[in-house]
Amino acid sequence: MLADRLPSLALALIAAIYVWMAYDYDPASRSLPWIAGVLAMALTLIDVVSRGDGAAARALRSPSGGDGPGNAARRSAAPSVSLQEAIAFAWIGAFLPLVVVLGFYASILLYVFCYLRLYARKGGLASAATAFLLAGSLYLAFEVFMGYEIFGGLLAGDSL
Amino acid sequence: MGSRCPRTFDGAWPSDPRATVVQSATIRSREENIVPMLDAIAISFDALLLSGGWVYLTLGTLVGLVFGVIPGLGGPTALALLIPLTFGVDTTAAMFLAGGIMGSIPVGGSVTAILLNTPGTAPNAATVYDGYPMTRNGQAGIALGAAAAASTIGGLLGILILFLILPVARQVILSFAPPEFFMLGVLGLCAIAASSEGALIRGLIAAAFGLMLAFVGYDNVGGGVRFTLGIDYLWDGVPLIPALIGLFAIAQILSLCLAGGSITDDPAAVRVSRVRDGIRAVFQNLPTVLRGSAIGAGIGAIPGVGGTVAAFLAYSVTVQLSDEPESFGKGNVKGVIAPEAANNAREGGALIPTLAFGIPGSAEMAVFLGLLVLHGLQPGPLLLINHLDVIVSLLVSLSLACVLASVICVAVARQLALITLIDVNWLVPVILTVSLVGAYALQSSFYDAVVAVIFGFVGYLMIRFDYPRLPLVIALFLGEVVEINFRQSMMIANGDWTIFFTRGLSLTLFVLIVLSLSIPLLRHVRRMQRARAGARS
Repeated sequence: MLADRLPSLALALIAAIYVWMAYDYDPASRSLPWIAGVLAMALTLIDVVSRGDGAAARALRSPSGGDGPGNAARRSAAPSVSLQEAIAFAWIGAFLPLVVVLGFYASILLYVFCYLRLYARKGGLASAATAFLLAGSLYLAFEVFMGYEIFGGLLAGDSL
Repeated sequence: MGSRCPRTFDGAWPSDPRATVVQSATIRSREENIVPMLDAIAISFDALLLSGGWVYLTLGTLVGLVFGVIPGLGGPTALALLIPLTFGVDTTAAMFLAGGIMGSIPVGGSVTAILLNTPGTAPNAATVYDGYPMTRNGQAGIALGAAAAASTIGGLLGILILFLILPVARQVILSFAPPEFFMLGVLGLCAIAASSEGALIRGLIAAAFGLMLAFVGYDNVGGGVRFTLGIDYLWDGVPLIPALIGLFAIAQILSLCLAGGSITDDPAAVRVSRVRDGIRAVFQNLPTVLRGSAIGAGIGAIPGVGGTVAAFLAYSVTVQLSDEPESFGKGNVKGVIAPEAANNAREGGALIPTLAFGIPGSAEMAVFLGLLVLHGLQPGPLLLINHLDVIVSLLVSLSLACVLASVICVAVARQLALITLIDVNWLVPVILTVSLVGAYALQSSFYDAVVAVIFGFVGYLMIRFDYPRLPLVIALFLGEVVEINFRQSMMIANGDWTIFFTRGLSLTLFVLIVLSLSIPLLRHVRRMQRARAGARS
């Protein structure tokens, strides 16, 4: 049950830090941020309570559409999804470090090929063709037609 | 890091230099509002026919059809992807591109709803009830023809309604002052949060966090920077367009990435014939088309309610008024006509709050406002007054896109539906890389691409944990508007907060805020009463 309430608790914590930070600014400047932060804290705490299975939770859940134990049970019944999600996040996130080093076009070639070949298990030739087609299309669109220079990567001497 | 587009809103106040425009505009007669409208229409057609606007319109229509056909992508993703590609393109041409996309998405979505029982976009879900049974009865062509013709007429009627309302809206806008703009911003946020698919609390949480993010960066009223955590990049605030690209395009491809596989695996289901009979059926059922269009435009104008409600409402009203309600769900062509007319007409309706008040009523409209910002146009009331030609170009392109998309859809419906046989894994790296190159290209800033990825993860987690994304986006847009107008109001009233309740218009808006937040509670009370009555009987 705690795992189901974690997102709301994390949001409440973020809101609390935000409210605490708001005190660094003058009263006029912090007025609305403070209200938004306090409101966010209150709402996330209501959300935490509504995810329980007591009478108060049921009363809160019905009008607000809060998440119930049923939904929580359905989610926890699929533990493998979290691993798949972590892998998908890693694949999406991996593109950025590649770009920093190699720049966009080389990264697109490498990334699209690797994604299709290793993650989606597609054929080597089709993966390579897709990667070349995509990188080529973007190069034509930005560099040739729009005359726009895209980041070439640290290896090519470009800076961030 | 390049300078980013400002995220300000044209909420003019008499102390503002722009107020000269406002005051002079108030004395204009209705005729004086119509003449600039006609001039703008002439300029728009000139740009369309003589300056290559038709190329952008056709391109946008084709892209919109493809994105409409593929379930899970839809308008916000298509627009978010294409925003960066309009960089360096003339603003009017960008409007033709956006209009092409927005006008054709609902038409594309109907193809798979009818042929494959899979609505391309959420509002096409109502079309499935009778569209797919028609396909199973061997009447796929009739259903597609009816959907295309109803979409065209509905779309055109929606735009016509918008054209008629715009001159009036210009007058209404001019009567607004900071207290009203503040209340209007809060109303937009509350209405959208309250209509978040039965999740009021989480809708409000998303809106509150959107506001918190909107307050990051330079304080436009008092000076100084806030909540930047010492990161210089955040001085200009959270960049809107990379955030939109992340929340819609990247979050959506994360979902696709995890879903895997293809949308359908039955090519035999995709057969089309007797399209003309479907078009004829629309003209034989004009009252259904008109009713659906009126419902679509009306519902579309309410921020946050959206096309799905409009399509289902049009469908249910048609069933209730029918002499043979039992035939619905089994392949009644009126069950295709009504939701499709409503679905397309709501585009015109949704543009009313978006253009008149800068309150985007849907995710698609929120991304569209991002496009305006990129082109240096400030979303808000003065947009209608200062950039009427650009807005009219959008409306002209929306109208033409409805017609063009319907014609293309009827001609190549089968080929379009075959797109759903493609494994979504082919789309994931393509959409990701195009999104990130686009995010980078906006300001030549690598950090914009990082922001897009971060918001992509945030957007995905919001989908995963049932937090609606739209209130967050709307709050990001409206945060600055709300704050500037709140602080201006307080300065005008010397700190007396009753200013928000002593002005008639402002008080009316406050009452609407209370009502919008009460609706889920009232619904709950009514449901409880019904349950108790059921238990007693």
